[in-house]
Amino acid sequence: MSETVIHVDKISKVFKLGTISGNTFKEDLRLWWLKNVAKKKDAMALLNPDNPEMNSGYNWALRNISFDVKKGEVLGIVGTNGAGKSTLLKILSKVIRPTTGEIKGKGRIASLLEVGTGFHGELTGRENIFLNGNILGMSNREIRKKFDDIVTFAGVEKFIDTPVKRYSSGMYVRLAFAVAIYLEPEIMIIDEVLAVGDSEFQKKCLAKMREASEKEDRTVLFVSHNMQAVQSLCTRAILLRSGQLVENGSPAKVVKSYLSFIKNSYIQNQWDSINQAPGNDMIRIKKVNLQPEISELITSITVKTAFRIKLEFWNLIEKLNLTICIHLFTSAGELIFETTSQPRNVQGGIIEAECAIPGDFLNTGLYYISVLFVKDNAEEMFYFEECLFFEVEQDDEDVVHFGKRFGYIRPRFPFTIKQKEALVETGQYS
Amino acid sequence: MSNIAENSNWTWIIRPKKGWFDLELKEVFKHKDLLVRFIRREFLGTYQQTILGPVWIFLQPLLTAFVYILIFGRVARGAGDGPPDGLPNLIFYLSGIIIWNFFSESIILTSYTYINNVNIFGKVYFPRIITATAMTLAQFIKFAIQLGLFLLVYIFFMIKEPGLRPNEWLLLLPIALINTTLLSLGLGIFFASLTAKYRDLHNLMLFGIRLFMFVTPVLLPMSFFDKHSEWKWIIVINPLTPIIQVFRQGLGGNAVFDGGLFLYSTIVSIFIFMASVLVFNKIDEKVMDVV
Repeated sequence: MSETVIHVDKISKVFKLGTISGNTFKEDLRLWWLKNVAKKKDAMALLNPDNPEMNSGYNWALRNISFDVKKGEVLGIVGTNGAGKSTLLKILSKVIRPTTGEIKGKGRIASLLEVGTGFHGELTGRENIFLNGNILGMSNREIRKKFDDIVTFAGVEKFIDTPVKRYSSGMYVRLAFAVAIYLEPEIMIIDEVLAVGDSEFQKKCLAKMREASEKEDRTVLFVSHNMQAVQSLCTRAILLRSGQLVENGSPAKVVKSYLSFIKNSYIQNQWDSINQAPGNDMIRIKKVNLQPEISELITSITVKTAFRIKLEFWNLIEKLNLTICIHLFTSAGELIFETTSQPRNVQGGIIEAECAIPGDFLNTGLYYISVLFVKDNAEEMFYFEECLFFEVEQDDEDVVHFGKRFGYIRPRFPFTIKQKEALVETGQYS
Repeated sequence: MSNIAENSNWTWIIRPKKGWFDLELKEVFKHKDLLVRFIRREFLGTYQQTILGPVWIFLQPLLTAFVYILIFGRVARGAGDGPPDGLPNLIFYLSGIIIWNFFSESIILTSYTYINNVNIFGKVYFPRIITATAMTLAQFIKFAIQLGLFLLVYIFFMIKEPGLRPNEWLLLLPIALINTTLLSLGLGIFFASLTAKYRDLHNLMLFGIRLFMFVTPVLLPMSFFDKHSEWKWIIVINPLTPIIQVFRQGLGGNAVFDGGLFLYSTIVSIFIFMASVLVFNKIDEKVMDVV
């Protein structure tokens, strides 16, 4: 019934690991030699994710992804961190190019890859609207026509001549989103940005996106960890896992397999080689896992289970004053709490850290944690995002009495109920 | 709407590599308002958080000229006869300095295109050449203001020294300025492409530009090089030499000037510009993987 507006044909993307290590110039020369001088036939075959030689020292962020998007569709892109979502979006918005494959499309694309993309802190809201519009390839005249609608939708009338560095992050997102949607691109790419705004604005955005796709037949590509938003908004979804497209179908089905996947495999993560491990030249992660207090055999966590978040990592700095912060998020991306360790001096080598989370604290639901490593209490060394996913399950006894409780946490605080005075006369009981 | 037309009228295609001549000129043209915005931002941004603000535009070349007069004025005079190229000292040095500053600062600032814009380039796409061009053109605006000031100084000297009069060579100044712009933008984006991946080449570039100044008649007049003919060929093949010389000639200078060399400089400038645009465009497809 409607035409295909994006045709993704077998795209792959490879990144070299350890580009800082200095042999890139040599590598480049070697590849250049193979391709142009030695005319080796299989030089191009090197650029193939199936080639085993290309699996060490290279990271395939995407492997032979193919899919189509039709006009007016809202396509959800789902996957854990590192599954390749961001790489895919970056390729679609032309920031980077694929290593192999081809994408064909129709119509102007606007992408909202991060909060305040293309926003300049020193400039006022007004100037930023024009700057963003210009970046999307709009002329000043076209932007002027939409200007009032943008400001009204974002709700920043009062602050339009204030530099955006004084905006709250919510205002930032609102403005960015308003610019993107009112400049009427035929295809919109939205990455996670909605997680930042307040829930009222999220609803407004989702409604606006739905309207854009239903009434104006615009196409939306939507990446989110908010499974509810994916289910209610998207008409179709795809699931990425380690760079591969593993599922393509109805949002309900895709969300279900995503959830079952993260439940099963993200309670522990381990890297054996320092070069493959996530991190940078200061910190490399060796292992993260979640350990229930009761027994090492039990891997399920109920609302009553106390558990420990355990970390092992390589510290590559000789002398380090280290602080670790743990951020715990709901699956929808809302930050529940941040907890910070005491600063501690450590030497280079393998460091172990753990943080105990008490039982009777988190409510049922899906959570993930991110870990921030800080040096000298000031400098961010590495932010290990979304490193563990877990589900807190209902305790069987509990459910009989209360059903699901409200809120993200359900702590047991000292609570007393006392009989202060007894009723004496009869008849006062109704 | 119609599914018959499907698979045919794609408006864009993303491929692993783009052709050498796939310059996306349509896309570049669409972003012309962005270019203007970037130029304005760059130009205004330079003088924020300085005490003297835009006064620096005038002060900097004047101070430089006085220093050069003090140091090199003697050498130039000792080498030859009378004032350099037959121009008053201040006119001689200022004319060279403003063109040289425009040239060198454009190259240096433009060569930082990728390094200074990693954040925005990593998140949105627009033709990168827009940012690079804006850098050079912002420098051009600064140069134009300096040129205005310079002409005031020149008029003052014309009143003081009745022998000093401009001549028909000055009509070539607009072409000379276009050449300078093409040359510095070209070299700027060429170095931007190189240094994006191999950053240490930046130091080499800065060093090279400093050396280049000594083979350009900024500090010493042509008459000095006429006397040291073993070095003269380097000065002559330098495409910037005829640009500065045509300017001084038009102001009433008396150096031996060859119109053929000016034509040569024009051709070299256009060639360097076009070749650099192709290199920049080709390298661009990989830069965001490595920056």
